[in-house]
Amino acid sequence: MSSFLSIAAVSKRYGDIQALNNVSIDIRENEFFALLGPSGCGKTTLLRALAGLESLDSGVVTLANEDLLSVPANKRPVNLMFQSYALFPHLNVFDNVAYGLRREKLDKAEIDHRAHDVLKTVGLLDQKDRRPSQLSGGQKQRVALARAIVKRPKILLLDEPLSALDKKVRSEMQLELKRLQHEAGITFIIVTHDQEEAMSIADRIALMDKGEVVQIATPVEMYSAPKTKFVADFIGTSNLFSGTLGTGNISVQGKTLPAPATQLASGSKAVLVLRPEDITLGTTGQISGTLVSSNFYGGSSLLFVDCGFEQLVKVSCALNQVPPAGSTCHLSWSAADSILLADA
Amino acid sequence: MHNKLGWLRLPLYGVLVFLYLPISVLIFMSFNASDAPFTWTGFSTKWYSVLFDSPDILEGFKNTLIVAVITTIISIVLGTLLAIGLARYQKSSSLEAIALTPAIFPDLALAIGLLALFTSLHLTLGLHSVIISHALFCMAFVTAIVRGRLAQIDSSLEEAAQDLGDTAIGTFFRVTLPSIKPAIIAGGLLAFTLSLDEFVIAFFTNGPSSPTLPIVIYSMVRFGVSPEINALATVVLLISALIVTIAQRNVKVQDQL
Repeated sequence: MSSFLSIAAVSKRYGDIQALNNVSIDIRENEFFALLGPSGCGKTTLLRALAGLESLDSGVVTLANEDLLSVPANKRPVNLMFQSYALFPHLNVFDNVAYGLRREKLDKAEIDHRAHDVLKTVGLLDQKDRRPSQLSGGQKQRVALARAIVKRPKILLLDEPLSALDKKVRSEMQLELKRLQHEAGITFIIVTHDQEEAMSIADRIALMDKGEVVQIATPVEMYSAPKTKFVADFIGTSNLFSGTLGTGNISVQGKTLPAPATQLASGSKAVLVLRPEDITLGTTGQISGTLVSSNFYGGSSLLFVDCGFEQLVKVSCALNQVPPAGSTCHLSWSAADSILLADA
Repeated sequence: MHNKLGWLRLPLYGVLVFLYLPISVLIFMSFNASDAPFTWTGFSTKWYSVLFDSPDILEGFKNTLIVAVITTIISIVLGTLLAIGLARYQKSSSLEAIALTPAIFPDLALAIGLLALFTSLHLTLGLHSVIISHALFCMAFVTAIVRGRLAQIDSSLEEAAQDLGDTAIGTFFRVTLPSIKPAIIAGGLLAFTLSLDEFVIAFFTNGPSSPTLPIVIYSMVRFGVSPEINALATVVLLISALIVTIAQRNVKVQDQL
C-alpha cells in the first residue's frame, strides 16, 4: 500500500484567491482516483499542476519517489486529457494520436503499430483519416483518450472528461474508462464536479472545498461515514438537521429527534444526517407531516414531506407505495442509521 | 421573391452602380482605339502593348513588385510574432492599441514623419526607405488579422502539444503556426495589395531614381491623361482583385477549421 504519487502540502495562490491550501494526497499505483468538488475548489488547478501546466507556490510532489515538480511538462511521464479535448484541428485522427509518439522519436513501424492498437481499443480504427471536426462528441472524447494513453504514461489525468457528453453516452463512457484503466494498468486521476460520476467510477475520492481537502475515502466510506457536514451534503442526497445535542437526542427547531451514540458533548451544536433510503413510511413514526410532492426516478420515488422544519424532509419510497399528494406521512428510522456530526 | 421590402433592392442596385460604374468605364476605355482618352472610336488592345513597351512603366512595375514582396515578408514575420506576443504573453489592451494604431494613421502624417526621421538619420532615400515605411503600417494589418485568429483558437491546443512531449519551438511550428496559417496568408495578401498601390508614403520616402508604379502613373497624369493610363490602371485593378479573391477564399477555409 505504498504511495505511488505523493502530493505533500502543496499550496497555490492567485492574487486574493487561495486555490490550493496545504493539500496532501497519496495515490496508489493503478488506482482510479477522483478529485471531486464544486467549481472553484482547486481540483483543476491541482490537476494542471500535476501535468506541469501550472506552477505551485510550495509543497512537494513525488512520483515513484522521484521529484515531479522540477520536471518540465513535456518531459513528465504524465498525460492530461483536456476538458475541451484539445484535438489538433489540422491533423486527422491518426496523426493526432501519433503526435506524442513522434515526439519520442520512435521508429515509424512502432508508431504505426501503437497508434493502430490504441485506435482499435477505443473502436475508432475506421475513422483514422477523419478530421476532428467530422467526429461526434463521443468520438472526439475517445480520440483525446487514445492520444493520451498511447504514450503509456505512469499517470493519466482526466479533466472533466465526460462533462460535454449527454447522459446516455456518459454512462457508457464511464464503463469504458474503467475497462481501459483496468486493461492499460495506468493510474487514473479524474477531476469532476459530479459526485454521482465520482462515486460510480473511482476507487477512492478526495473531496475538496475552497482549496482544501475535506475527506479522502472510498465511495462507500464517503457515503456512509462523511466526516463533515459539507461531505454529507455534497455526497448523495441527505436530510440535514442542525440543532443542539441532548442526551441520546437532538433538539431541532423545537422538535426532539433520536440521535445515535456520539463522542460529542451534550449541549454542543450538531447536525443529524439522515439518508432518504433509511427512512420508512408507516402508521406511526418519530415525525410526521404532509406530502408536498414526489419525484419519480425510475425504480423509486423521492418524496418531499413537510414536517414543520425549515426544509422539506426527503424520503425514498418504492414506486407502488407512493401516497397521494397532501396525505399525512409518518416517518420512522433507526437512530443507528443516522449520522451525527459536529456543526461548525 | 415577393416580399414587402422588395423596393429596397432599388437603392441597392443604385449603390452598386455608383461603386462599379467608374471602374467599368475605365476598363471599357482601356480598349479604345482613339488617342484621346475619353472618346470611343473602336476596339483595340494597342494601349496594352504600348504599356509593355514603355521602359518607365516596366521599371515602375518592377520597383513596386520589389517593394510589395519584401514589405509582405517583413510584415508577415514581424506582424505574426507581435500578434502571438500580444495574445499569449503580454495581455495588455493599451499595448495592443499601440501595436495596431499604425494601420489607421493618416498616410500624410506618417509620410511626413517618416521623411523627417529618415532625413534626420541621414538615411539615403530609395526603395529600401519605402520598404521600411510600408512595412510599418502593413505589419499592423497582419497583426490585427492574426491576433483575431489567435483569440479564436483554443489555447489548450498548445498546452496539449507540450503535454504530449513537444518543445516550445516544436509546438509553435506544429500546432500554433498551422492553426494561424490562413490568417497569416490573408494578412500577407492584404499587406501586398496595400503596398502595391500605395502612393502618398512612397512619394515622400522614395528617392528620385527608383519610382514605384503609382509615382510613375502620377507623373504621367501630370502632363495630361494618356490612354495607356487606362490600360495600366486596369492591369493594377486586376492584380488587386485577384489577390483579394485569394485572400477571401483563405478566410473561408479558416472559418471551416
